[in-house]
Amino acid sequence: MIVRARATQLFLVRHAPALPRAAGGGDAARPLSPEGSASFGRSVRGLERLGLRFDRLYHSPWLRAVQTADALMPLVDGESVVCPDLARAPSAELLSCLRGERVALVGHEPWLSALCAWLMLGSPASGNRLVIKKGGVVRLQGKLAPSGMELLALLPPKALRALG
Amino acid sequence: MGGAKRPPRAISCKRWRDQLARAVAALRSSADPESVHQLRVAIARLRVWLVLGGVRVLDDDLRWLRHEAAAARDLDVSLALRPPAKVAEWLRTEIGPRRRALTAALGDSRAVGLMQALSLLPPAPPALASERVARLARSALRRGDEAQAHPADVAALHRLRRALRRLRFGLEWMGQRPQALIELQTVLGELGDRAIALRGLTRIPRGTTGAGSYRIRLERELARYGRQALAQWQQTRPWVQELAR
Repeated sequence: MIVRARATQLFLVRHAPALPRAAGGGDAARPLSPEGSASFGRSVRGLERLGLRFDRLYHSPWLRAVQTADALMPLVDGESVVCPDLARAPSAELLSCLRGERVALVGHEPWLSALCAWLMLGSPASGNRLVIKKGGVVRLQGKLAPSGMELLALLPPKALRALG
Repeated sequence: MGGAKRPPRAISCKRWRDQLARAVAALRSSADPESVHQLRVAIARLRVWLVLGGVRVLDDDLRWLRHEAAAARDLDVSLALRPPAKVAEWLRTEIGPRRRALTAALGDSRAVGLMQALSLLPPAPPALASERVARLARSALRRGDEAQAHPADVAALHRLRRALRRLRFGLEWMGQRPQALIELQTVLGELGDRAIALRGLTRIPRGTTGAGSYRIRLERELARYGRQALAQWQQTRPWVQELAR
């Protein structure tokens, strides 16, 4: 009997719109803007209307990613995990720590599109052809390995808000 | 029952975040009992701070790190109760592996990310925090009623202990010093320590000198602290009920 592993559903979520860097503050400390927070809240309702839920949620430790991840928590059935690898270029270390069948990653550009290109096409460099807007979601399916995944949907924030 | 102070304007987690960072730094070189304890206390307080601020992420990460320290902490607690010599000798054989496991966890990227994320969070707004403290009080009431209904159920007393700890920390974040809860928590802590030591004894090799009589002593002490805790809870309950409104 051949047992096929279930394909992983992977959701790449770019953080919602954030405030610019404060005087003396670092890039990592930028919070979501009030408008960004409100609009992403509507996007989360849109994701909910699509019936999307996650086993696990991984997020960058940067504040705008933490706050975006927090807004997604009502859709998370399992654990949230802070993941510094989501605040840098995609790597084998990132892929090796991911668990679950329906996994959401909250991170930043250009690294999310590089990750998407790497998983779909085997090369992170092709990521510059992909535009993931702030608050936007990319849905992939397949094996969590370079060239192992296919693109199922690109969900821009405007469309998610319209659903919400 | 509680020393009321003026509530803070915004509730920063800096003090306990810094304590967590100090404990982590100390434990990266050697897992001494006091640093293990300070790590777990800081984590428990920060988890309540997240509740007050309505933040749901990072709680799983804090819970993970606290769990990683639990094995080392349980051993320290068991040894602090001064068990018989042969029991202590057996417990000490487990120290090295448990402390090494904790040191490894602290080097994990998840721990590193957690510290960074905590350092970037803004203060919790006090208005939201007040309502959340009331919710913690309601949870403590439920746990207290459950423990009262089942006085021999040690697990129910543990749930009460955790609920009261969260309530106490919530009040302290708000600038209060709930003396009655601190005293009750001390008694429940003694109960908890005996339960930890008893759990540790389930793994001890059969025939270890002194283990049998030590177990009997721990069970007697556990029962005594359980009765004392429930009696103190009955006195504290009306005050917690006021907080829950």
